[in-house]
Amino acid sequence: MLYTVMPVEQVMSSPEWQTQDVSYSEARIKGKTVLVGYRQGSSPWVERVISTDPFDYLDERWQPGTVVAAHGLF
Amino acid sequence: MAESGDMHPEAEAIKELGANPVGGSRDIHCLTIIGQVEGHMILPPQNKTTKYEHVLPQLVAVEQDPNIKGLLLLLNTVGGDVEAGLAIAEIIASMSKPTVSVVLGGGHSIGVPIAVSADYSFIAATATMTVHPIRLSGVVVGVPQSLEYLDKMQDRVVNFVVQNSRVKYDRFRELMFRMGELARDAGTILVGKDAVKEGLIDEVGGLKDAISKLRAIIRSRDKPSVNGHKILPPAPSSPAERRFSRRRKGG
Repeated sequence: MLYTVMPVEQVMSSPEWQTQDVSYSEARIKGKTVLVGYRQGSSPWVERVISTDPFDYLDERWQPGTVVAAHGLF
Repeated sequence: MAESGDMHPEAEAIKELGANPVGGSRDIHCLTIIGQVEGHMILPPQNKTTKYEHVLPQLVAVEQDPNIKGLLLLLNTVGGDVEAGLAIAEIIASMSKPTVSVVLGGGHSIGVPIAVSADYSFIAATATMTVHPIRLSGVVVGVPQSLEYLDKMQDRVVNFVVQNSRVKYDRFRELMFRMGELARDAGTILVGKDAVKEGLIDEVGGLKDAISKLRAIIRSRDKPSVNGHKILPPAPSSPAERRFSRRRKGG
């Protein structure tokens, strides 16, 4: 249930150019399971880390939006 | 999109996706609550979001990391998922480490409980907080139970805010259902000092004030040691006592 000042239709709308070709896949990077997002023409990014160690969530390499290749994770 | 490899990794992360490095050797951890608080559904990509599945374990790590002495929350949020917002607010309220929040720009809807969940809260003079009723969208079954469910959800938010700030239950509901102030909704917009006057936020201030307050709370909790043994502050015996002491914030 959303509790926001933004109109729900605006929150939920998704322009076609933003959603096309976006794909997500789980990858094993540096021993961590990471959900990686990818859009054609851009570098893959960390969508989220999947870990039971809380300190992984403080590690800057696994912050959502981190560009995977730029951080030398591949 | 920029080509990767030409820029510094951190700069590229910030430019491309707004990601900001966290951690490091500083003793204050800064957590930003921005855009929509994303809940059980992934929101379309035009939304800037704060992901609760990332924030919750991060707060667990902050609580356990001996190098982190305090948590600074920066809020500029339009609200979002009720349960995700309440989850973040509850975990902040239950932390043993000092926490200070600053509302910058806006701390609307579910941003209100998150803002009041800290030990001490600030709001920028120009920042606003919108207090309004929870809505149901989409297909709604037209039975009295739907209304009861909505009221119950609303009470979860109201009770949390009342228990963690100085605002009274009736006053908060009055602000929530006030007519004539918002063009398309019931509710109230509280600007800067209005939020302080209503008892939602403790003080009007900015970053300097927030860090000074956080340092002061950290110092006050660093009790002197006897024979090398640190004297721990007495822990509140019950959640009610903890919330009562929280309501007397700043004392």
